Amino acid sequence: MRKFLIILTILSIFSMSVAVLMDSVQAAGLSAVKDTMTRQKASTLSNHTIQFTTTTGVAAGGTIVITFPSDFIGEADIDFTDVDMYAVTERTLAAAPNVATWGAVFSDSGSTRNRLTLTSGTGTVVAGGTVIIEIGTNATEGVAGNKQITNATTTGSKTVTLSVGGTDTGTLAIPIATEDQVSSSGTVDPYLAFNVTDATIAFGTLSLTAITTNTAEMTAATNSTSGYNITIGINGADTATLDDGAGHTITAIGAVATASIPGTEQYGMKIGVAGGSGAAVAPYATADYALDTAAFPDICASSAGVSITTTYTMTYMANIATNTEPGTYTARHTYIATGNF
Amino acid sequence: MDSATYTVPNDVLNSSGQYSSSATYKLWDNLGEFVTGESSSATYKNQQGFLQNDIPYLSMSILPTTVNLGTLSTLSVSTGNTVITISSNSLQGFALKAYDNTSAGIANGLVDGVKKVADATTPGVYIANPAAGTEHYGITVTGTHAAAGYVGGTKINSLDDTTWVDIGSHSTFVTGDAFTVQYRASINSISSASANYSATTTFIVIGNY
Repeated sequence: MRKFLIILTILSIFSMSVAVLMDSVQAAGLSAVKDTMTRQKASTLSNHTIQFTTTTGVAAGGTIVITFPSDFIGEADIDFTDVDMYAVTERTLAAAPNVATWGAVFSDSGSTRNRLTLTSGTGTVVAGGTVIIEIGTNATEGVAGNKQITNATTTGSKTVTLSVGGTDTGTLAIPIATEDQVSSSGTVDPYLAFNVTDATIAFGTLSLTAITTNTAEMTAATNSTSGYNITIGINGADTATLDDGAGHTITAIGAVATASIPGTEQYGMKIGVAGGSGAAVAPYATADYALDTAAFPDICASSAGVSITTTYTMTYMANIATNTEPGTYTARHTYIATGNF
Repeated sequence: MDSATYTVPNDVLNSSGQYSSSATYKLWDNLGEFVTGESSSATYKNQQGFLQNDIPYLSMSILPTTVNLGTLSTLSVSTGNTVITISSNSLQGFALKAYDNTSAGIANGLVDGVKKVADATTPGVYIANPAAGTEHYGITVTGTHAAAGYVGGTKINSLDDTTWVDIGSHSTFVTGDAFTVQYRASINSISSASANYSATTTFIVIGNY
């Protein structure tokens, strides 16, 4: 009895020294086994791309069986059109094997349609061959796949088993998580910049024979995808056209852009544009002059969308006639930019 | 021990043990081995005893699952983190990958259904983290086994909606391997359109067997 115990001890120690986990424990005859899914959230539809290398291969009439855990469920009507098989070449699949065509059938194994069996007709997979099997909408050969497999309802590590050619077997783990997605968000606040420079311009003494002009500038920029509008108008008791405060005015040109005609009483402006996406608006967008005081506040410039800084140059023009009353004439226009958010 | 059809390379003679089963479980057990159990180092795992757990294991958790970058600024880079934790008993390890979902017809990235904050880079191409004031959106990853291209979080990548982008990987078993994914975004002075933007990133882990 003492001798038997000594032998038993030696054998146990020997087994301890060599029983180191080997890969073959998880994949007997299969190597490079993996499953690339599209989703790993519980109860969520997912595609699968299962890849492995088979030591023995598959003979004519042989099978490849992939079994998902019992809480995975194939969608109703999932069939061979939802499967692609590649082994050196893309293999033709159908509901049943026929010569070179492989049969692909989903069956029940503990749950509904969670087992895929591929059955060869005369086709084979060579020993040492790599096989890629796609299941779901990623199966695009022939009729495109439109059915997938729903992940387990419970979370944790799930084991998929593979049997290849009746000889090679293997398992792989897929993680089913409470959530496999991260939602990120951020806000870009609305932005609208606007400024008028050269706020005071002086024409000096107006002439009967020569055009008198002077310019002011304004800038605008926005990150609104609907852009902005700039209006020209007056504020309070300000006057829209040149006025001497004694009841005399220099006539505003009006809504129709008109060329400058020295000797004719005219007051108007035109707008030039540089940079950004902004543009002058009719009637101020031509080489001629206008001042549609009847339409005040009148849109004189705008941007249709996001725009870096646009510089607008407003060229004011004044002409007088022989019967224009003497005096000091002034006008004041108020520009307002409005973002369209 | 062997037969005509199989070989058990390293069998053992013990004092007891049996195969048991019922309608809902199967059990193989033995009794009498002197030294059993599992030990491991950074590079090796030793499972002692004749009967071993041959069930592959792979788990993934993500927390948090929402990242709010707040109001994006031209003066700073907005950041937000999520941590992905993976455990695996595969001796070949795992690969962690990600992609951005298509949203309202826009392929990927931080979008509002019509507009998007510009990708930091071509998806899959690592570049140094852009400075504040440069419109960009992307991720960087840190962790012991983060993909090397991120260079400890100093480089950024953008995600694709058709091709998985590598986040990290490990070549052997591991418990609680953490990857910190940092979302980064900034905007240009005025060319970044005003809107509320969002993105959805899907992560998967692939065990290697």
